[in-house]
Amino acid sequence: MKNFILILAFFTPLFINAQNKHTISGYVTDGSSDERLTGATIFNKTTGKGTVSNNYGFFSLTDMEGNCQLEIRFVGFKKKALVLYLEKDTFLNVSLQRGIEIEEIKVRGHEIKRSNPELSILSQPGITMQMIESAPVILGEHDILKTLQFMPGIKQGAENTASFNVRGGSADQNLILLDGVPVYNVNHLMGFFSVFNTDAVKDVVLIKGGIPARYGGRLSSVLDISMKEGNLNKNSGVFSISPVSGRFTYEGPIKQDKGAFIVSARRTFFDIPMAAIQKLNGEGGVYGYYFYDLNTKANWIFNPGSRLYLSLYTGKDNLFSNTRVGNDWKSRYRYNWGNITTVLRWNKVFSSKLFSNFSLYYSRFRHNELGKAKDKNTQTLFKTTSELQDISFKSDFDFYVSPQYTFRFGSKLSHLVFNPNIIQVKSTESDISFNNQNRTQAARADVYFENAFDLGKLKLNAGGRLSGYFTEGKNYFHIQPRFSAGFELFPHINISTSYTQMVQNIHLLTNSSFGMPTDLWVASTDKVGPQLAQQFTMGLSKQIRNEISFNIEGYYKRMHDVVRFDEGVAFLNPKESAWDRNVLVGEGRAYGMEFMTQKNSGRLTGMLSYTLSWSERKYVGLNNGNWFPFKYDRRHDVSFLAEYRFKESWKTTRSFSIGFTLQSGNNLSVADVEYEGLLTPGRELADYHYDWEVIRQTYDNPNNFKMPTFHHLDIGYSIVKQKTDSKSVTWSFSVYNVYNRMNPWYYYKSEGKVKQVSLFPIIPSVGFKYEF
Amino acid sequence: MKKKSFLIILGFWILFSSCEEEVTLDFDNEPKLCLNCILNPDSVVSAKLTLSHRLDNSGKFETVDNGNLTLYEGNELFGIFEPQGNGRYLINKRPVEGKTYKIIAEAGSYNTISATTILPDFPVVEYSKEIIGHASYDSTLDVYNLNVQLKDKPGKDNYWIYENNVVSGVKYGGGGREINTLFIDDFNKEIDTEVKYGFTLFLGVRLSDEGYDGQSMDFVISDFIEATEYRYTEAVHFLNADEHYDKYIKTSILNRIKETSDLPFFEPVQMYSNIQNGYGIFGSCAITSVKL
Repeated sequence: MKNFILILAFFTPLFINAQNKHTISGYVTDGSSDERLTGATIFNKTTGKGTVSNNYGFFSLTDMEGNCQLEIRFVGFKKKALVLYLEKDTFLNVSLQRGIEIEEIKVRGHEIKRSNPELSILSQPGITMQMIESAPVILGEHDILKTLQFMPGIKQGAENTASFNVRGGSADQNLILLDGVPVYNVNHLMGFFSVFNTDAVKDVVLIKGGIPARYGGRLSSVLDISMKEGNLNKNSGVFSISPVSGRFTYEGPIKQDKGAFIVSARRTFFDIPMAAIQKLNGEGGVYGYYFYDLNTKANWIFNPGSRLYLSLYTGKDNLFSNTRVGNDWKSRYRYNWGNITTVLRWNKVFSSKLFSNFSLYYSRFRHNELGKAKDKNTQTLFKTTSELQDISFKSDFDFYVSPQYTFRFGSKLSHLVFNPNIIQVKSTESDISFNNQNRTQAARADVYFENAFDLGKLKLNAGGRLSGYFTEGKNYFHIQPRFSAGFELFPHINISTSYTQMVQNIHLLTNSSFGMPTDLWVASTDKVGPQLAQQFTMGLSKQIRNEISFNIEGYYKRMHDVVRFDEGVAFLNPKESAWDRNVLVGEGRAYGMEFMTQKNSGRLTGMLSYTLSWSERKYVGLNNGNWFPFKYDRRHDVSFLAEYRFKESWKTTRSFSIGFTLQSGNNLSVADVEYEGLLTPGRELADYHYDWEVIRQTYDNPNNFKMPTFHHLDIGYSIVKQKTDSKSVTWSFSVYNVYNRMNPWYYYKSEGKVKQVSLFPIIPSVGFKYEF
Repeated sequence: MKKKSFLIILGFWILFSSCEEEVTLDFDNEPKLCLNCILNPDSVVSAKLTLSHRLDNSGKFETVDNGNLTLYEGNELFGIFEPQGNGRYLINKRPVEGKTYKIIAEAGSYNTISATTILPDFPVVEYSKEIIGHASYDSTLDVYNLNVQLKDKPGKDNYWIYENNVVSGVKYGGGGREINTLFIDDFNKEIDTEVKYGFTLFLGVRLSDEGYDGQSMDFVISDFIEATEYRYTEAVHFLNADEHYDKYIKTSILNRIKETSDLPFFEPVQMYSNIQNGYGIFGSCAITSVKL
């Protein structure tokens, strides 16, 4: 089966002959900023054929001649109609003006971009920035990753954390890209906030089933986030403030219509009141915490077919403390972690049918802990560093063979450096390092191809990805067939199916259900190989009057060589040991059914979903090798997210949003039985022993305890006041956990009693945004 | 340092108005039989049978005195245990190294439990003493190392090293001496810059023959102090445990590490047990002791 799909997929292009007619190609842009628009539809009314602009706003419509009536549309923009007489291949730069057509007034909602039209809406949920910015939030911070968690099949780890699990997978199995660059740690403040500043984000694409061959490297999902490019026409900016942070974004042309830049920064305020309190209390030292993000991007257009982008993201969390006792003793403590990603990208249109993108990127996640103490005579230092670096070059080509057929192909070369948990202990007398043997380097090479067909009722994408992974002493090669298809069975009733194989060469060692900076990324070794997964999906959808859709999709996923810490191994334990001796390698399986109804237009828009799912793991050496529930095996999950837009005037737009989630609790391993044990060897020779030495506490199955049902209701209200054409003010009010549900965040034992800790009671908040 | 950082982080969480309450976890566990029996060729066979109880029961473990315990050597009956009271049972015979033993225990309406073990070989140990200096507090006392050659036999062996000492008439025993060798299993290693090798081995010293199967494992046990009337080390013991007893010791130590750790998110440990339908351990070991 696998070979058949690959052969079919690879040789199909050879049988396709494009007719010798003309091609219209070009870009679709936002008329106000010249920002390129992803997912705009370009429709030839004469032939009834159309296409969608790609991730870089590029489109190509082939097989055209004579008179053409083109209609270009994008949600939130006025449609544009063009009449052309084609005698040769033509390049167009179509700019759309912001605004709503008369017939669209009633249907202003979250239009779903179908960049992969063969996929069901449950495999590629339609997520827009408008949806993210209108969802109710906690502490006034809009967050892409938290809004995603309303989608069926996507569940958070712990309450209110950005870490998420897709269709029974673990958090490390999500490929999270920022401008095509993997971001290895997406969490600020233990995951309470994600690193993505929504003011700087243009577009979000999430795929959790039928993942096309152009993506690779993770098992469960792809989250592809694109930063804004910068305004080519005029200077503009956004200033926002929430109870947690302040954000400022500024963008403008470097040279009119040739180049643009954008700079966006965010920083928290936690440390400021803390410093004031410490000062008021007259404390001898200072301690505090803050995080920041900085996004910058610049681009330059050499000619219509050549554009260069340079973007940089850097973010850091910093926990610090300085203590001084008299003049003799002082100590300094730093605990910080953060990412740097930078990418140089070149869009090159080789011909009206061939679009390409070349990227050279660098991504680094580093976590540092540094403790220093000093007195008159001695000085000690303790330093722990974990680091992952990824330097890659990739190329992507879109070859528009005909309106019905697009052939995509590309390659990627990566060099990865892993330095997990390197410890240095230094004093006046000694300097000891630990875990240097864990330093690893690896190389990775991938090639892929995709055949995307749009044959009217049938849409399909067949392709494959070949990957090689080369680490010290071991090479791994994998063939990953990908196939997805959608078919219009009856008018407005579609069926879809997909089969994917995925490979993941890196592993995240974590004990927590949220984003700890101490989570370690490690490379596959000769002992612990790459993780593999196969996923099969099948779904059905029904559309009513282009307004409401009903969707159902089942999935079955098998995962191989999934990794977890061995029992008793703690991520913080500074042990001198190779990580691959402290893990268990096993199997996973996840299956379930997702239901979703979505209303995309009208004053009331939103979605209601239900997921019934199972997720299990099995490891030799644990639970006698039997299956047991995964930590995030949540049987039931209901989510509701809606927005109501009040009647609006030119000057004021008001909306009310509501979000509700109810889901089975997470699973925990909790000792629930006690029995008499034996003394450890030699202790029987002693005159005395303690009670604890002969008591054993354990459980029959890992993850034996299910936490109580998790649910909360959130509401939001926002007012946008348009001051002038280019200036507006937005006030956002939210109440998180309206009915003050005390969802357990974690449990611990103290003096023989079990304590439950809840972190998020009812939390009202307000946010302010000024756009100019 | 880490404690401090976590306190700061926890402080932030408190800012978010965290709420703590005592809860009762509703586990429905019926008592099961718990059998503890370790075979040793140097001693007669003894076993203890008790009942497990729920975690919220802080009372003593209930002993089972009406059990029928039978031990087989291969397919042959080795003996039937005689009750000794207080949950204890005895067969007045010694098991033999290299043989396979199976135990079956029945008691009242509880599920019948069973388990199997293969008695391992005695560790083959050669050693020599090497005087390396004098005690800092008394220069008349020699400090010496024990140079050990542990001659491993082919096949998987799981060694544990411990010793017993007498100080002012009080007997002490157990593992934990600082040993620095490639063969150390570092599952319980904890960094401590104050000690000789920069780490300690919590509650036990385990040597693994992984990668050295059938070879001579040479290492040094350092810093013994010459015996005095008040303080002396009686013996160093080398225990070779079968796979079940070995895993049992290991998970027992990991459990203790977990219980005493102040780390908030420690992966829990499932206690190893090879008892079908019950709890406890049926294992075996052979011990070679070096008298000092």
